[in-house]
Amino acid sequence: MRGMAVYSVHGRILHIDLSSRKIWVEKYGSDLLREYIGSRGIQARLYWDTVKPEVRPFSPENVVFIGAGTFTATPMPSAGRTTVTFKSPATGRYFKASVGGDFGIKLKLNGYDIIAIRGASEEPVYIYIEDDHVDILPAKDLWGLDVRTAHAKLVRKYGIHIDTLLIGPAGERLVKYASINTSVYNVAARGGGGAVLGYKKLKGIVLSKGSRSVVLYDPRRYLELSMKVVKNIMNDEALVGTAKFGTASGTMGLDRTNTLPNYNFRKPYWEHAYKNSGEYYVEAGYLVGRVGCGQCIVSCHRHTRTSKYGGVDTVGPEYETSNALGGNIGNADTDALIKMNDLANIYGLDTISLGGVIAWVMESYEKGYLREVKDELGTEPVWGNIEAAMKLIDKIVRRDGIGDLLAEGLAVACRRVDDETCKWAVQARGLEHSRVETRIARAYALAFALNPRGPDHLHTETFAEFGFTEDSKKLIERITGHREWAGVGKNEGRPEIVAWHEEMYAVTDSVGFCAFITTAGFAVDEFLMSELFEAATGIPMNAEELVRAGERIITLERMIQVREGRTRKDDNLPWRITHEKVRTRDGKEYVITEEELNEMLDKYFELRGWDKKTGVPLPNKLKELNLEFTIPIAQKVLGT
Amino acid sequence: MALGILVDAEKCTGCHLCELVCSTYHFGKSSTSLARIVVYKDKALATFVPAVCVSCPNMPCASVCPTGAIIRDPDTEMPKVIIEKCTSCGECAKACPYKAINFTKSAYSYPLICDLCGGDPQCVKVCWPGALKLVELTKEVMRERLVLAAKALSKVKEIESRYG
Repeated sequence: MRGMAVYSVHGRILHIDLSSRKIWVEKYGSDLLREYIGSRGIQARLYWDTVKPEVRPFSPENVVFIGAGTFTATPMPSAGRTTVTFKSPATGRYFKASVGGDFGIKLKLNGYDIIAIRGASEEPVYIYIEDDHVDILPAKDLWGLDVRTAHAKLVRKYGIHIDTLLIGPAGERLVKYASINTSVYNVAARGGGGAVLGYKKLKGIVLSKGSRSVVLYDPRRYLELSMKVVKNIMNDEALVGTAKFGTASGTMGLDRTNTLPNYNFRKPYWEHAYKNSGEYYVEAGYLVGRVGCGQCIVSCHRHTRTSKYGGVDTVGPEYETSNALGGNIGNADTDALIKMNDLANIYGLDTISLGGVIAWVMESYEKGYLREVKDELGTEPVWGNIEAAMKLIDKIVRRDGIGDLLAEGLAVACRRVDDETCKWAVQARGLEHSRVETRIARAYALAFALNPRGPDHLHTETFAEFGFTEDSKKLIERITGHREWAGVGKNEGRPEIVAWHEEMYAVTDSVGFCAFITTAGFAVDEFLMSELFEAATGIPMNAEELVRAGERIITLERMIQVREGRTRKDDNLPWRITHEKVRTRDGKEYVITEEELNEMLDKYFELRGWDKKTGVPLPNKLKELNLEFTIPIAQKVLGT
Repeated sequence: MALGILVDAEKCTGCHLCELVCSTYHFGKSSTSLARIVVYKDKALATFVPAVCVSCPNMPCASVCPTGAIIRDPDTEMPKVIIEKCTSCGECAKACPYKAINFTKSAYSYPLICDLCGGDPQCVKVCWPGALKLVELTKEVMRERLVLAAKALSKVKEIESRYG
């Protein structure tokens, strides 16, 4: 333990080893908090120290870190998010997923900032935490249950004030894109964290109400600032829309800008897009009410209902799901969309990867591959065939027939079927591409190529690039000096836009803010966030230092992956994105060539102080960021 | 005219921010166990119910208190716990018809009842979804408030019975 006493966090990491059944608390001080800000940053450092490059994703040595943000369980709106860090079975490398819900609040109210799940159990277990009391308990009667049923069973046992983190049957069966759910419907979806817990035979974690409190350095000042953030949120154009229509309010904006990827990234707009939109969910009466993640007054999550498909009462779909299982597979049936979102949620499947996989099956079938799937499903897997899609979901979660192959994810499945099909397996580095047309939204393209997760939005989402609001245009001007560089189809200033968002995202995740507050809406900027950090923790921190901490986190994450074998060759995009043109509704054609991507990458590396040839951060940059401990690895790769 | 909080549970999104603001305002530290408002929820069915004191005319909390530790605050008209007299028996919390008294003994030895922050309730200020409103307590509003509170209570009971 180094540094002074900590505020706003407990300085306590709960280690639970499922192999030895040992449980212990590790303390940390203000030094770690100052350098790494909170959950995501601190966990990247813990991962560097604990998960060596040779550790396999499915092995007892893989550690799953689950941590609450520094502002989580404090009176700060929209700051209740939790970061989950692990080595991904999909990408084989460091992965961080982010999730809302109440888990982070309850974790801190039980007296911990981070849980580290080590080892692996031989029998299914779950963990029960009530302040200092931590138990590893048999989960025989929970294993095999879907998330909603397992949650209900645990509530019956422990009372209505608990929260749960659970995996579904997909995680138990090691589906490579199995999610981890908190509060039933909040999902740390990407990267297969659910499968890692499934390998460890950990069904989930139950947190009691918790009787601890979070002590703030200057509570009076912090409350004042909190009221300011509340006002900023209520006056933010983007957040007002998100509150009203949810994240799927994005559908029509993306459709308008030809960045909504339909039919497996072959059509960037769609005549039926409205049926996949948040506006339609409200208008057509699917919306029952709004749902808030911990501390979040925006409450963009949706409580929805349909009487079709056997009746569904659920939460969602979000934007990504609305497209992944909507236009992406030719689905304009909103009732079916709600049903499939619910199935994916309760089975514990990432809907983005799931949609990517189903679309690939449909396109492969159309092109003469996987013809045998028709007999297996009893129906043709053609675009818009809901019955086929639902049967595929069922087969994937049970790893039955074709589902066993599809459960491995696109990178593996396409090679096993035919290398030719990899051309429309829209994935890179083992992760299926998020739902935005990166050939047209160019900052997204660069961010996705660099993202340690893969081609994915929830790590560096450069939403301001669209210039949908006045605030986002102003931000692009502030970053690049050019207001006119807001908008899609442009390469200019993209390295600068990506770098700013990477740093902002790193600190946003680490304090527990939702990215919507800082990078889609703009209720909190780096100046206000540094004031909040000082009032919360008592650690002096100006905006420049905060952004520098963001750069430190980004650079450490890069070094972790360098140690895991990442090279510049991995800064890539799916084949389709760099080789096939996509045509807008006005007949304009876009592709992002490897040359164009390389040019942006060169500029980005220069900006970062990383080696252009290898993409490795240079030793003097590592020293400047207090990352000296990573220098030997950098030198080894750089050959200096 | 006295002011009071009007709760419309239909609008609650279950975010808990009211509880954390309440706790920090009163105690300088943040915990749902230190809040004078309680959010009940059923996450599986996305049902949320905030419960806060409606200042019942007959004050069942005071009636059951064996030591007479609960009185009506003349300034706010809200029940007030005289800590020196309180024996931490928890009978008041059990007697509250609206489940609006927070008594988590492991966090704080005394029952917590809304005091309207002395007339300027902080929870209302942060509730953008509009489940909490500060209103003047006319006779009509007081009637409406009891109706809403009874509705909210039946929702909480539904949740509790669903999970045994």
